[in-house]
Amino acid sequence: MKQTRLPISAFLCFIIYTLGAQTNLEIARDAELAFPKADIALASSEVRVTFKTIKKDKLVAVVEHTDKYVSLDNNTRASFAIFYDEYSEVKSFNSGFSKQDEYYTSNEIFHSDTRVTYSELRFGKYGDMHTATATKQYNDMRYLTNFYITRSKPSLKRVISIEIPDNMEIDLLPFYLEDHEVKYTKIKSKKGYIHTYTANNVDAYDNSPGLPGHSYIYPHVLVLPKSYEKNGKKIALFRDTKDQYGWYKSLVDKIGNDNQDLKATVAKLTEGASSDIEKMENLFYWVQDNIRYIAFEDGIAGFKPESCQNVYNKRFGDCKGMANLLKEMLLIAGYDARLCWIGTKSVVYNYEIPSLLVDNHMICAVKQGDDFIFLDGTEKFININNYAERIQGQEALIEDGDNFILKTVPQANALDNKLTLSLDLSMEETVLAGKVEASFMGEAKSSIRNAISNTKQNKIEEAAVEYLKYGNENVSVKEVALKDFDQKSKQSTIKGDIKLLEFVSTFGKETYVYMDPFKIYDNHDLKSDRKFEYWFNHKVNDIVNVKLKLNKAQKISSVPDQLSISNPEFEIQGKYTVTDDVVDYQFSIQIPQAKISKSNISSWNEAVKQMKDFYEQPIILEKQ
Amino acid sequence: MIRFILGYCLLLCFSNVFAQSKTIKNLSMFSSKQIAEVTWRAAEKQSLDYPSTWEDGSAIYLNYSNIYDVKKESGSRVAVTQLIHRKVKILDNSAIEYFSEIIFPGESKEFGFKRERTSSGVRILKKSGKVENIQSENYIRNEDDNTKKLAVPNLELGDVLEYFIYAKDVYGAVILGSSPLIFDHFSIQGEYPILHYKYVVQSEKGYKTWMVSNDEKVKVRTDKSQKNMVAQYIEEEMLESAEGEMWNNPYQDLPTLKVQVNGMRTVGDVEGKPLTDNEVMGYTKNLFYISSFDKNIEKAYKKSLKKRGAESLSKSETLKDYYFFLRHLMKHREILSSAFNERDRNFSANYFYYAMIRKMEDLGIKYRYLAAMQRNDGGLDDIVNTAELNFLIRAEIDGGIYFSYLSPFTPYGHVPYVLENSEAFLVYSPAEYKEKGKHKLGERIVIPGSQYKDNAMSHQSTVHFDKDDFTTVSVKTDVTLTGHQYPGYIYPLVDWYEEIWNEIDKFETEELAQSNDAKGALKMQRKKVIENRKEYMADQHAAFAKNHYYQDIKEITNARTDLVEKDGKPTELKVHFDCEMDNLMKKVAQNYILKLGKLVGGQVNVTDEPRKYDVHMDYPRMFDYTIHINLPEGYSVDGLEDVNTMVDNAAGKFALSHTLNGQELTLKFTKVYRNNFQTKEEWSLMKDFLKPANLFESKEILLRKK
Repeated sequence: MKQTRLPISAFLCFIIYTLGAQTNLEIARDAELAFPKADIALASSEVRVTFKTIKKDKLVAVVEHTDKYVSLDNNTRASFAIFYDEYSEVKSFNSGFSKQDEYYTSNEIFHSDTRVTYSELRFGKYGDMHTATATKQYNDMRYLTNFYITRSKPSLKRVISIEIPDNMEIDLLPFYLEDHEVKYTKIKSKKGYIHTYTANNVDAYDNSPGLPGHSYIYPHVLVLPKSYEKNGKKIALFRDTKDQYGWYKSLVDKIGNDNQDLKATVAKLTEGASSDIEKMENLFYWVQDNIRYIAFEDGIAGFKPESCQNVYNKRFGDCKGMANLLKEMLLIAGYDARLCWIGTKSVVYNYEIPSLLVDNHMICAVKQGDDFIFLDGTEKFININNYAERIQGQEALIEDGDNFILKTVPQANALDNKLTLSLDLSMEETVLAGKVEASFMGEAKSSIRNAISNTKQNKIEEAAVEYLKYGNENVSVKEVALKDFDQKSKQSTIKGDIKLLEFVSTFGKETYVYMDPFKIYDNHDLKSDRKFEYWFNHKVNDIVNVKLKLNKAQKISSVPDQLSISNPEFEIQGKYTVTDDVVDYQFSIQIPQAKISKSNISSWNEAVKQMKDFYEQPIILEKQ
Repeated sequence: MIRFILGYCLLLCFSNVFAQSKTIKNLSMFSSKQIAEVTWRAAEKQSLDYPSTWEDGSAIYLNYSNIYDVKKESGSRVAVTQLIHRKVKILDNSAIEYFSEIIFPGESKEFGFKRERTSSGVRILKKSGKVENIQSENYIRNEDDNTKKLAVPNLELGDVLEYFIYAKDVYGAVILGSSPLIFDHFSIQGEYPILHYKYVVQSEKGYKTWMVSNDEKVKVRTDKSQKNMVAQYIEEEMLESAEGEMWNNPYQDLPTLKVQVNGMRTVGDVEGKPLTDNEVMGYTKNLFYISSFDKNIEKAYKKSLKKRGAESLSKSETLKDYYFFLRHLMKHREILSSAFNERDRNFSANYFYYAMIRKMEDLGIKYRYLAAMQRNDGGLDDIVNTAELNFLIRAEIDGGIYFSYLSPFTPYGHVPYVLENSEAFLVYSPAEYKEKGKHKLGERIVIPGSQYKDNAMSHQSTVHFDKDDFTTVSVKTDVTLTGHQYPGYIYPLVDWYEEIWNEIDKFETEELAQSNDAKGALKMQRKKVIENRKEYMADQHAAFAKNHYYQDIKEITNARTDLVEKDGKPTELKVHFDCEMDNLMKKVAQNYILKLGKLVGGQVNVTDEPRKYDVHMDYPRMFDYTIHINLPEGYSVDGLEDVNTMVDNAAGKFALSHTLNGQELTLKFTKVYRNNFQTKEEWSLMKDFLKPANLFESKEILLRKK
């Protein structure tokens, strides 16, 4: 009797289990309801992190990934990929499809040692499911940095569990978990504690334009390994910023700089310069002009700068190499120049958090009294004392021997990025003709200089014409001239002769004239259901000035009403003034923080609509 | 970045060092040192005189040469050794960016092919005269594919960058013979001017080589001075850079070369000549030899005819009916089985051809085959490979009905526009060939082309203004497309599932047997597919509307597209949609401005720049708009005086007119491109009708309050 009960009970358990388990179709329907626009979702996505000691007492982190995909359409594809490099390895990979393993290539990086193991999963029909698993081992704890709740596909359930053994000191720093209803539990285990983060119905990464960096908007957990015990001794990793700086310094100490080759060039560049600023400018601009940006991220090369002589002789380098070269050149010239690590604006963290994630860039800092001037060799065409938007307001870690200094890069004013489009016109029957001038300062100048620099020299004039036409086929531009496009000028200009065709319509005794061919930002409305704030490339200060001299036979009948929009994040002004026989049109837009907050999107869209309406209103002339 | 992945397209360029002969003996056995020596010396004595205007450009190729050497390897293998040499003067920053990163090929192996050996060399000739050789430690090797990347160090403005790439590829017998060893078609002019251009194919005797230039624009020479070797080559000097412009075709406008090398040895003359008429026609005749035929198709058709009571159709009617039946089968199988992921029953192109031929034979309809060149690929005298040809069948009934490839959407008697007005071989069917005494395989003809009226876009729209807010404009639009105007829109806009269900009814066929998957899953799958399709069509109609009016459109409703195929009438694709636009009308004081020109969508913009090349367009066509505008009561219209234009010439036509009856304004806008080709001298005729059409796009009228 005893023997027959077991199979029956097992059978009953199986039935109960089967009845309780969801079918693929049910899972697909749930996913479809949660994510109506997705063609593939993750039914579940789990990461399990543990730590163990392997041969020779080496401590490693083992990360197990398990992704269960469900297809919400027919003939769909998904990619399951694990990246690794010199400091990690893929110990196992199973997807049910053929596996590829190759170098990861990116347009921004010339060569990287990062590899990727991946499979392309294929699904025939709605409701098809596949599970893919992989195990990645981190051999250097410094590179175990973070885990995101969000994935590239939407997830019905996402779980991150990290088991921290008692012999390790690891801080877990969560970001935005409350905003996304992520549940956290901490449970005792044999080895230590298991920290689990669970979320349901997680949307995929957004691909809208102008998004802030991921670290600003998606829920994630930073993993900060601080120390661990080995044979009774405590081994420090990054306990604090001092440890992090110490590691950076150890790499810098191994650079092997030999600045002999640079001396003659430095002497030539500083000879005849009348001030310190002029000397620094000459050196800074020389690096901008003569060193191409080519990035190598090969093992430690991702963190250790190239020697100054290599960068100098090869005439290329990445941000680290350029910073190092600039530093050495400035040292030769007698200045207190230092290397400086910094996270660009896309990174939300600062140096209170000791992690490799905090910085992704290197520049040079020159001490001037109690303060520093920052020089970024990768920013072509930026003037000394001007800083690119991406590093403004960011915290910089400056070397100071065995110590370090933290300083914040100053914020610029939007007014510094002035872009002015000016027209001086008169009417020739139905054509408005005259002179056009576009002038650029600050980041506006950097942008146009970059564009011109990447243009073939026999096409520059054509490119300048196209710029002044501003995409308008009814504008004709000739005799263009580019002025002050040299390195030192703070303002660059493009000028030309212009004709506006089809901007004048005559109805009986009345003439309707449209004075603004540029209509800046008239198509810049944002989707009303946008989930995140919008970031512009830089602070905006754009101005349009148009002067129209009327014929003697004409007089003004009416001009459009003024436009005035004032918002904490943007300021828009447009008006016409009439003086004798001249109509003056002035339009300006300023976006001082280079962003539109999510709560301000509807106001911004309304402002764009008002701008469009303003542009569409002509001045009306009548015959005298 | 420059990537040199050597494959079938590389040819050998030859250096001046070997002044008498154009061949380099034993190229495949050169050591790396020899390769470097030969290459660096090749360009040393060349003249460096070039037009001073070239200095205004981005870069100049001082030397641009490709060498290709074909010889027998052990057994029945063939070795193809390639040597590329470039010498480029860097004149601006964009050239530094472009030329300073190079990827070189590496050794590799796959089935029937082995890249046995590679070598490369890079050096910089500085302005000072110093020569910097780039050492191998600068290369970065990719272990996955053995390629090497180089970021060229110390490259500055005014420098001359010189490099070569050498590779020896060995092909096994398993892949020789199935296709040519080399087959390529390219223009010799490119982005940068070239001072010395060389291109050589040298092969051991027995490997037949073709080198053919379009209309002999490039002189191809032969060198037989070396025993057992033949070199065909071109050498050109002072090649200007070539940039495209709207409606140009580089293969016809620029000097181009077609190159082919066979991997199987032949006896006789190795200088390949273009295929003769008989060679092409003989190939075509054999191509259509019916080897197998799906009898189930014939059974299914007979069953369908019987069910429909349509067994007494005339020959012509039967042929047409049969064609549509085959198309239904293909559509049903390909669309449904693909969408629903059911068992896929392929309907190959061959089945279609064989089925049509069998049917015509059954019906006693004469037929012929055609082998044609695409209009922009050259003429019948330039064919080096039958792979260049396109094949059709012509039924000798009703003036000649052409059958090209079959897709689920191909209309009856369709000739692809790329074959219109192109030369073709008309090859007799086996029966006709026999009847004519087996003397003549066929003849040359020109495939007729369509007229502009055949390829028409007809637009009818009615415009209303919201009575409370005139700036909100509602437009009901009907667009009818015929001929070549609609193929690109068929798949996205037509409800194919509805079409298939209708055809199943029409032809009395049965739905494809369903797979054995769980019924629930399949039902869900089908429901999902049909929902997705409706969503997709809605998006496509919105995109069509936006593109048609060339502006943002609000609120598209009642969107629908029908494919209308009626006997005796051209096939029409009829698109209907209603929409709102809020940027057509604006209030100015108490009046309104209506952007009349926006109702005809975007118009081609032409500048006053002289034309460099002839004009090659896809097909003659016309655009005809009739727009009825119900003007709001209480407003008169100003600005219509110049809405009357007529330009009519040999190249085309633009006609614009209006009528105003009370508050109903009717606008007629017609634009005609009479031909698909105009010479550059005739460009002024085209500008004459294109410019006013473009200017009309900005036209506004004033609605003045009475």
